[in-house]
Amino acid sequence: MRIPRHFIQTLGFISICFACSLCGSENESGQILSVNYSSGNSFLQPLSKTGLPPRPLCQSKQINEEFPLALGTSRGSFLEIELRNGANIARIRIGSETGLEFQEPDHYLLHKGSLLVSHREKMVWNLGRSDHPIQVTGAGTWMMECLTSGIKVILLEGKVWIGNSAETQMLSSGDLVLLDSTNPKGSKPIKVDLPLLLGTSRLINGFPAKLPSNSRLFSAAQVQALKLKKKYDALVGDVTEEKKLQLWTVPKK
Amino acid sequence: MKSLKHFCFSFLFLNFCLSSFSIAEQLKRNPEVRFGSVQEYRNREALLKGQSGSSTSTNNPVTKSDLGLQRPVETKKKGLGYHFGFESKLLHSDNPGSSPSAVIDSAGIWENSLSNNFLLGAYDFGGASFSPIMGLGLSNSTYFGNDGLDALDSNNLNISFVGIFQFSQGWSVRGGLSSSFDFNTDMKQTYRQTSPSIGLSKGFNIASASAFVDFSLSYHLTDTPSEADKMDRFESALLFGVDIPIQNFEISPYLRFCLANYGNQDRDEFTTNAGVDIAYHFYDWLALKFLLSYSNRNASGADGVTADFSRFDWGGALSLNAQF
Repeated sequence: MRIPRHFIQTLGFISICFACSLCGSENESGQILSVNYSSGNSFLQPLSKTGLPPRPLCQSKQINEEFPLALGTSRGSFLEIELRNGANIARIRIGSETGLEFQEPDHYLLHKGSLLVSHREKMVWNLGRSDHPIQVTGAGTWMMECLTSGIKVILLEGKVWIGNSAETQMLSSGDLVLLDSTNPKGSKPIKVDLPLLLGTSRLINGFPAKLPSNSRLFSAAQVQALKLKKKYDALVGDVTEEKKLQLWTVPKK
Repeated sequence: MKSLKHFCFSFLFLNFCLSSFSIAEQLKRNPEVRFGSVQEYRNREALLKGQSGSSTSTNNPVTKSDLGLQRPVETKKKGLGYHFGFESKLLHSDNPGSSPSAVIDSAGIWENSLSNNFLLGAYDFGGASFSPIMGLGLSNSTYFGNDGLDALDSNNLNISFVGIFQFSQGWSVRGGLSSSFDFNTDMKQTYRQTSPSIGLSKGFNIASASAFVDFSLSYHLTDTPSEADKMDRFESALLFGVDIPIQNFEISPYLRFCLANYGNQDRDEFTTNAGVDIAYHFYDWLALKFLLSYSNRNASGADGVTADFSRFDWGGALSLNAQF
């Protein structure tokens, strides 16, 4: 019996599509995005063409959309994606009520909310707000949050340089810096209590799987606990529109 | 009547002399019997725990952030630290000499010990933290309440150096070298042991209680004036402990098994040591303790026949601890 030619062609096309979906789709940028974990309502908004509706994101699915695109989460939702750029792999955890735009390779915009980035290899991230782009270079686990005025960055473990192309400053584990358009390389780092932060962070504990850098987070927190000199009875909050840092007092036991 | 009186007196005198001779003959220190490993472990842990624990409130507006609570702290550059401990114990023992048969019914023991632990830095190895600790301990034991106990009185100096790697999930690995010197009341050295050791520990939490399991291997190189290196031995020990805090009280039961093999003797022994410390903390630095411990040793081999003993100690202690 002779098998029709178009049947073989169709079968070949389906096989290629299946192989592509297994390996993940590579954007023109060379970056592969895949969803590791999604809880609640997470969605993808294609930005390459206007008028396309947002699509819900499912766990263990590849993101085949071309850049630019945006990922968003609603209240109480969390999303973890894996970004492969050649040999470099990064985990990006997106907190609730967050909008993250992938503009082009290595250029991202955090419109709202918070995220955590973790990677072992040295990488360069151009990630900030539309009115205040910042560059993060290095390797480690760090978190970023949009404030009412400016951006907050906390390095949990590793070593990164933060700032813009003109001026940068090096952060070490436990450093918190506040950045805005008037201060591109950020404020003087404030050391924050790492064991407390790791114990209360939803970007760390709100996901079922541990971060690959979990053991590094532990050792950074342990070393800080051993080097601890003094704890202040305050908690760092938002930066107001008047550019005033809000500090909350820690209730006494 | 006079002869009867003379006989009774002679009998009592002879009996006293015999019993004194018997105590002097049989009562000697067993320097290899040491129960300080639980306290040593806890002193090291106190130093490594740092100043953990933070008062937080979930109602605070900053908890809305997914980043977590950001409490400003000040840190030291190198992470040098110091832990000081002093404990004065008053114990009753039913076998103070740890003798095979109870030569003396019971005795009181007054033991004062001073411990100093120096944390020589804290280093992040990216997945494990490393902390070298140097320890210096002094202790003095005085026995009372019975005659012929002078042989047991001793002073001890202990110097140790331990390097501890701590991993996530409560695991830690350590390697160390310690030297212990015993002196009699005339400050003449009666025993010395130098002990390289390695250990593996796992700490975990059960509700508000914290527990630990510790396995260690050590070799003791000894020197005794009369017996030279006869007490050289290889020890493997397994220690379990729990710390249960109930308001100002802390209940700390422990259980230790130790298997020792003497290289220069035909002797193997298995020692079990179980006990509980109940502490009442007046302040973070001051505690009053009730101590209870039971020890049992079963020895085998030609040289181990007379090494079996069991012993029950109980008493109280005043404990001072400070950390800088």
